[in-house]
Amino acid sequence: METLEYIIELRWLEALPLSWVKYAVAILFVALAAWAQLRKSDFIFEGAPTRRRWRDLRLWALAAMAAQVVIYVLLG
Amino acid sequence: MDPNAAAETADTLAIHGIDLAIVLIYLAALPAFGLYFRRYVKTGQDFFLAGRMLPWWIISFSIIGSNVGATDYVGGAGGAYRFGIVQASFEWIGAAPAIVLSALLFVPYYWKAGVYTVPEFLGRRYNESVRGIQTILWALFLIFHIGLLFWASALMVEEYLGFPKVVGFAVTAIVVGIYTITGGLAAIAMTDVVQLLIMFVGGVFLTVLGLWHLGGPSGFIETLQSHHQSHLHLLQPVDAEPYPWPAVVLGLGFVAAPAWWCCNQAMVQRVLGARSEWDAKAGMLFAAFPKMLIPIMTVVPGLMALAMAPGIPPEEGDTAYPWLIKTLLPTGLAGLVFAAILAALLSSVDSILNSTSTLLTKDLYQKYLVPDGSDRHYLAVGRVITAAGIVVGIIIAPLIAHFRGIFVAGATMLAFFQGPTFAIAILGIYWRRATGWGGLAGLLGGVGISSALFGIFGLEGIAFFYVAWWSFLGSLAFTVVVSLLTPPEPVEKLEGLVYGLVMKDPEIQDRLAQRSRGGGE
Repeated sequence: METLEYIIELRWLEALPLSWVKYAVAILFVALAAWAQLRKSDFIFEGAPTRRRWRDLRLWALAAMAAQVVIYVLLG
Repeated sequence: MDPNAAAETADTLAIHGIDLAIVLIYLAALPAFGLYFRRYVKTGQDFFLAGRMLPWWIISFSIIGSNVGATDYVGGAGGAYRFGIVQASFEWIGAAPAIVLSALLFVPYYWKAGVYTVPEFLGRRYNESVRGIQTILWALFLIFHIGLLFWASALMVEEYLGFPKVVGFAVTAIVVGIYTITGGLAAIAMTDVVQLLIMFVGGVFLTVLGLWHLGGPSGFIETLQSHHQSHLHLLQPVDAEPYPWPAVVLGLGFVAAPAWWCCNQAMVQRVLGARSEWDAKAGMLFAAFPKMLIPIMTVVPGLMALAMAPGIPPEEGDTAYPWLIKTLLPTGLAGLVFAAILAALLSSVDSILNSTSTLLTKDLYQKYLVPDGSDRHYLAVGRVITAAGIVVGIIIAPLIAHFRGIFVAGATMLAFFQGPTFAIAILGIYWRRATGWGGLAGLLGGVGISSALFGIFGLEGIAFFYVAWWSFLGSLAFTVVVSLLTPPEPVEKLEGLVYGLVMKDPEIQDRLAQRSRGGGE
């Protein structure tokens, strides 16, 4: 039972320093922002009445993920 | 301050006449405002999807109004009191990335498909069995959630106003029932916007007052750093309870949050009512910003209560927020904050009622019982199911008392199937080779893994994030293996439902647009 708990509760990850985890999480946020930047303009603006810059949802995604990076680097 | 003062003070302080007057004005104005939108409800599409006329900013505010409930104030502050700022994970790593994923990957496919519900989409992508099982699972969860919110309302009314729980049930049922049953999604979305503003004004006010009481942000942080250093880290060690980092990052960040923001009908429904695809995506994406600010109103007050009164017994952490209100707020302002919490509660109840009604009407009643009814018939059925949802919610509300925290109760229920749901949803959209049998096997296999884990460790013996994580992985494996063992789906079936197929073919785009204009049926 203890072995099962050890596996299921991912305790085998305890050797990983928390500082590494913090930066790994930050990299994941950056990766998601980068993925958003790779969406094509036609997809991003589909259905939008204009293509003004503030309607570019890639920038919204970038701003959201930038905030996450700051939060987790400071408070991780 | 006396560290043992919390429980005593909670019993002795009372809401004054002017506070009660503010609350009563709010409770009278809300249904009156919601009732105004009754005139726009002529068809089932008007009732369930606001006539597909919602602009992005209303969608966004409504999503957050629906998402943030009284459980976030009371349970969120209680969690922060006990475990620290890690409680904010639900609003940060547990929301923003998933919202981006939902807005830019899932929402466009839902919107283009012209569906009413997420199970309907999964039914088209996989098969009707997947749709039926998904409908039952989500409907059960949403009804449970309604009960949870009714219980929270009863607790609030009892704790703050000293009225018996039955008053809380009655007030919630009457106020929400009036505009939800008559005005449908349009009334819900519009009242949500107003309620979100009330929530922010009341919630932020309490935080500002608390910070002032503690000598400003620097005094607050110094107090926590001196006495509660472990409460200031978002990533907790592997052996920390109840939110170690593997559970938060892998279970919440990778599985539970995307499942919530991409596959939960209550979150997705107003997106399906968008006036354009851009509004649908923008409405979901913008929600990330107010969501990231929610901890200011929920988690920070919990930490403030810890700094002021560290003597509240951990098992009574949920009393931290009510204690702050009663301790900090002068006459008149307590009513405003109470109205804010009530707004959070009611804006969640109305949305979940509407989503439950949509699910049961479109995916069960119309699909299996009366497939050829008139639009007016389904509109009437939707209203009856909404009313029935209120009654059932009240009946099951006392069951919530058996769980150790109102916040944990909902998450435990969701843990059974959120991993498998997200697994088949993401494979369904991203992997063309996933088949109907594969999706069904993934869903059933994943729920089986969740049930086995809860069976082995007990309902409260395992963190629900681990259940979500392992059931997600198991579901992925089941779906892939069974899909590869069964014949691929014909391309025509996958048009508009799978990544790569919808963006390239103008003919398909036209067909989807026509299907959307037709309301998806």
